[in-house]
Amino acid sequence: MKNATDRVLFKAYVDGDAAAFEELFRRYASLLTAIMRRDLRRHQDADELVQDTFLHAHRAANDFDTNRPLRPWLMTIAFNLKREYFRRKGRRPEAPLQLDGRRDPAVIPRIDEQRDAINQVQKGLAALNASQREVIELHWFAGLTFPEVAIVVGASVSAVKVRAHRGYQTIRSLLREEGR
Amino acid sequence: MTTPSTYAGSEEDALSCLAARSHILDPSTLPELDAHLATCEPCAVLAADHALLGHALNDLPQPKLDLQKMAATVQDQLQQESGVRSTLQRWSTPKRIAALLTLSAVIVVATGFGAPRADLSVYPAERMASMALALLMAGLLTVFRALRPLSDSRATPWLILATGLLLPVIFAGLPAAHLDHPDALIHDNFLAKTATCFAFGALGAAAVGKLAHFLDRRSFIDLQAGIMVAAAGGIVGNLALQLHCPITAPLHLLLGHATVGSVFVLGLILALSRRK
Repeated sequence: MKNATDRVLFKAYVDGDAAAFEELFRRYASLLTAIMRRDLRRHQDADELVQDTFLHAHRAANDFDTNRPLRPWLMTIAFNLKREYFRRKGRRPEAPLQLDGRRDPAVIPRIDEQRDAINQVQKGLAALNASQREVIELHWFAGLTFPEVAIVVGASVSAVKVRAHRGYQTIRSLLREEGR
Repeated sequence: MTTPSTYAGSEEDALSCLAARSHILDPSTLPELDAHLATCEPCAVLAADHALLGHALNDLPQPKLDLQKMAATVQDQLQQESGVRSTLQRWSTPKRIAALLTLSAVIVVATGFGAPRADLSVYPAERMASMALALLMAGLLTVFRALRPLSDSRATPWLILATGLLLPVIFAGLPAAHLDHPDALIHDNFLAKTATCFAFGALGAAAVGKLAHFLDRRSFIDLQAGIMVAAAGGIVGNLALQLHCPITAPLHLLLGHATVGSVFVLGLILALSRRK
């Protein structure tokens, strides 16, 4: 089961194989939770959105084309749920917790040097606007190609590339300032 | 990036080239980029920066999770997914859209054939056909958007929504189609007749809205999707009224027919804003 592709697993799950669902959950829950928690201060809400993503994937299983990759499909559902969450709350995505100098107790402890570097990068990520951060998260963390990212965010590939490029420039200039 | 010399010394261009490593540029340019990096120190420094950035991004902490507990919670939720609504939600999107269109068609056709307007013989056929066609098109588009799956990221087309809500208002604002039939005129009980039409249209809209709510896969009412459903319901109600009500007075059409969709949309916005 662990060596099966996402598509094979999803097909098995739709056919009623519970173990296939557990394996898919194992593959994607951590990634989705990390992405959700970067934008939502309340971890409970972030975790609920992850659970909603899987619930929604279950409801939409008959829409999934098994000839296409599962990851962008699942990410699109997750990001749309996140957007709807912010619409419902009447808010914009929040900056990650580390911005205010506190440490997130839910993360795995690391040595100080690494933690400083991580905080700098998170500060850089937090400085980006939501659309730039979305693209970078999907590309770097979710491992999607730019055409796949374009599908998830509902924009053209060239627009996605421009957002990523501007985002990288912002992060880099912030890292440079920190380094001075 | 046609030749290395076009970006040598320019940080902006060098950044663009370095971004090729993450597929921002055509991967076929990578050998060219590597050749340039071997000879250009500023760009090599930038390349090292980008590599560090990439490592740092990938090194961001992962949350500590009790995956088994989370999976169990989701499994519990999935097991509770039963009943009519769950079955409808699991239908494919084309099937869900077909179901909503079928109900809309039943409402409109049943009204048109069951209780046709009394002035059909004198009503200008071109005007009736063009109004019905315009409402039909707007109804189709809003139904398609109302049941859009979450795996579709295209933005909500506000133009469709605006058209769906404004079309009945525009039609109501046109000069009366005719005054050649006794039922086309309101001699008395303006308010009662107008309220009856509104209630009739609202009933059709509510039926469409209820089924759409059952077919929608969200666990809550999303404002954008909800507005689309309300607009679709309003259009169906209007179309049914257009085929049933013989009154041609613009004020009646405006208050009794055109307001159905707008009132549903406003009601939804108010209800959702109170829930926050």
